[in-house]
Amino acid sequence: MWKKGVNNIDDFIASIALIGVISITIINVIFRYIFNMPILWAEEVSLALYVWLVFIGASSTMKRNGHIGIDYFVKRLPLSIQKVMKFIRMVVIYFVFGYVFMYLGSELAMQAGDKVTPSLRVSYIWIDVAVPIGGILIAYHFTRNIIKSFQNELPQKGDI
Amino acid sequence: GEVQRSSGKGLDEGLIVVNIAHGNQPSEPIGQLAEKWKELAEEESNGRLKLNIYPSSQLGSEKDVVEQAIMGNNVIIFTGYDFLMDYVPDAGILTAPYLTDDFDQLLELTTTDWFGDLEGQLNAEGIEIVNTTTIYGERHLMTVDRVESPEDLEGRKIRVPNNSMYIKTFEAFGASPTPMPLSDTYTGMQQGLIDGAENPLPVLAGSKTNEVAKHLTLTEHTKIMSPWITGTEFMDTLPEDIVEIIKRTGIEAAEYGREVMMEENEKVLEEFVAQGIEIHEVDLEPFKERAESVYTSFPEWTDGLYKTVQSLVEEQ
Amino acid sequence: MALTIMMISLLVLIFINVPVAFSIIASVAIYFIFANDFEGMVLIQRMISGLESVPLMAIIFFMASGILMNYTGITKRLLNFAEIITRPLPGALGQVNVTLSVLMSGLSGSNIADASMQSKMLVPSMEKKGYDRAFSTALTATSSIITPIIPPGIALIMFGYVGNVSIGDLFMAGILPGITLAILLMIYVYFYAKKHNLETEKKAKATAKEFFSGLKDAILALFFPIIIIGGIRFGIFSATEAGAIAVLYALVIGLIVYREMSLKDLIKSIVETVHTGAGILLIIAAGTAFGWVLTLEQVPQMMAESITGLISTPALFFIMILLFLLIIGMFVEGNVAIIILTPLFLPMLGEYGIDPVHFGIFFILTLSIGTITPPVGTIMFVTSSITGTKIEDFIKASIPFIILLIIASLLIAFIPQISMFLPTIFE
Ligand code: NA
Ligand code: NA
Repeated sequence: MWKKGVNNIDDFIASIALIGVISITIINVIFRYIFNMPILWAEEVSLALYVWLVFIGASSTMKRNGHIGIDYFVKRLPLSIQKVMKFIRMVVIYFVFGYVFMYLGSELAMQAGDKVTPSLRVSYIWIDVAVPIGGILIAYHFTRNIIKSFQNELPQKGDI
Repeated sequence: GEVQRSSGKGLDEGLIVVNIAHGNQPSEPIGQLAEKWKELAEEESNGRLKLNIYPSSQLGSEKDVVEQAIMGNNVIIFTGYDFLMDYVPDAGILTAPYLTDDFDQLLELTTTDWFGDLEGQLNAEGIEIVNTTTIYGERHLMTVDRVESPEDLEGRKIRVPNNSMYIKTFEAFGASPTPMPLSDTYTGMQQGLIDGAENPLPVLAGSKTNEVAKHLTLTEHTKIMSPWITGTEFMDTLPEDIVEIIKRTGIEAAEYGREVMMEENEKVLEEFVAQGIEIHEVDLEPFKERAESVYTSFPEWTDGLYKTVQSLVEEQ
Repeated sequence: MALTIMMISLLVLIFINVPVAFSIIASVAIYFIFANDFEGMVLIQRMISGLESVPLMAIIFFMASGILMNYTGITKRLLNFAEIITRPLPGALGQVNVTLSVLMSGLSGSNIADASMQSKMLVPSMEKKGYDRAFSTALTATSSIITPIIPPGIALIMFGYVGNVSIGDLFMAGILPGITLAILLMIYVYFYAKKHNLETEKKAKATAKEFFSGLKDAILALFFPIIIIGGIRFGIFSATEAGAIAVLYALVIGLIVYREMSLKDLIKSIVETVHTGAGILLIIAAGTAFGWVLTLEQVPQMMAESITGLISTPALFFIMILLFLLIIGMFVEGNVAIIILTPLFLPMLGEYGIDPVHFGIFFILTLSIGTITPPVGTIMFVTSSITGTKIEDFIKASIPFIILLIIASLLIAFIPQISMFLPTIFE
């Protein structure tokens, strides 16, 4: 149960963000058109949720091996070279979620204090932090997928 | 955050490259000002300095490039005091509605001790002002229906920048301020999502509001003088004489930009008349009266800030 | 130096099958490590700001509504109706695919939204009729390029705004070129269908009874564009908000009208939207950062400058720009390219006596070809990932379409009347 919760936390957060973006946009239309009273914060909250949707959702995509790549060339190489490529691929993906998402992402979030959204004046920390959190979740699922692929020596379907 | 020095070619040894960013089109007065600045500064430095200009928000939105500057990256950006309010609240008053009667009074404020103190507070936030003498323009109101008094504005949806100063100003006028990107203004007005927009004349013409709105009210609600800023950290990496050249040529370029802006204003106004736009020169008193509430609606401002600035203006 | 390293790493990483989003992000990160003007944090800032765009939100909305529509039961009713009316034509479903894009273009300003909805709605049915999946996907991708050219179009508005060109004229100018492209595609589908024997059997026209029963079933779907067009035209909502309204509409139909959607279906579609949408949007975010580096390094600017130095005639200018935009379009997201290049191209036009409105339509169409080519073709990725087409299959299937698009670009370049006829008569 606990494990299932952890495995699906990315789907959960990203789905809530999606529902939020859609609801806010619809409610804003209603308020503006029927009550002649546009919600001033609607745009910035939807955009913030949109950022969360993408960076957390990127983990949902990783979990399902859904990130698009081009395996056309690699498949035409000898198996031994394919193995090397696969290792490099793994290193690059670790570099992206480790160095870029987790390290640079938290660095950006930590200095963002005074940068605020225009009407609610919420610090950008709350937007930027989606990146390192997404990085942690991607790291979890990517590593898990790798371990799984070692455990069952089955031929792999989609590759990374 | 280190100065770029082109390596390799011996000729370029020691060339200092500075990136300059703004959100306007190259043909607009600010764009021409930047080009002039580049020309003057490069000439005066005898080839030691190169300014790379990035117009049209190519390096990012105002908030993003200001953040880049504060981080210490190589960039000087054209911004606004309304925007710097996020870092030092008192700076915002310089863009409050009907603050002064003319631009010279406004520019004069930047030479006061009060402004010097403001600059110090900005420095503490990592922000360095490079130029204070740039005039952006005077904002007017363009509407689908005739507007001659604040009463005519009652409940009208007016597009404003997503910025609390303009939102509060138009709330004070009795309108319903609607923040949206400038690029959406045209279709917004065409589709009736908004009833009007406000900006300096060249920007109103640039966003093509004249195709969809037929009434221009010369509200003069805000006179805007805008700073060029960079990060303190980056400024410290530049040699003193280079900083001096950048600042001095910046003042010259700003004078040039102001002339271009004046010419442009007249040209646009003539075009509007030729296109059959109705131009309303209205009594500003009722607008000024309503605008007064803006001066007390920022709790983050220092107590008595408006009084302080008013007395500085009167002393001039 | 840093730029060269970035370009090489991008190509190598994509070549060895590192997912596209990760290839772009990694190579831009490498750029920041080697360049010393800007810090690495800026990469994250550019990705986030690439997503902070209201028009971009339409993508996820139309993806969600497309996915939801499949559970409402409306898609099958609509397709059933489309089948009834196009029955006598060879390649009927292919023709429907093109026609639907023309119809949709009056509602949508974004090709990604159109492409994602139709990949979801039409490609599975085309496959059932024996069409090749890659062909169907490439047709959907290519026909979606019609959407931003026929007004309203986000690209037209951006070009008009940045280039100080009348948006009203651009809107007028886009209509005939969009229809020209549609006709070219329909002719191609006609011959393709004949050659591959797709829906070519002699079929009787539908009876009036069949027609009206189909219409009754499809009416809620046909009503939907009217709600959207009406809503946008009467200023009730913006084009992006129309996407959110589309989601609401799908929910109302699925949960209340037809009651074919269960709570489980609803949750399933939300999660599906999230994981397919996030994959695509991450590529767009990364593409924004990549485009930013090119801009900083003034790559497009330098390329543009070298053009005017070399070219003397308008015809040569159009051909050079075509080649240039084909390359730029492959790497830089369309809206980003418009922002960067419009101010550079417009001053050149006077020299060649080209009308900016005419140029704008040519510019936007040519740039959009890059959306269906690797390495960063957004439409290619959107459609392929939704329909489950391998990128290499898509590339193979898209070659004839790319040729068609280039022909359309050349027609628009050399027959200015296609663009200028409507703006001139409505002057
Ligand atoms: Na289509
Ligand atoms: Na359209």
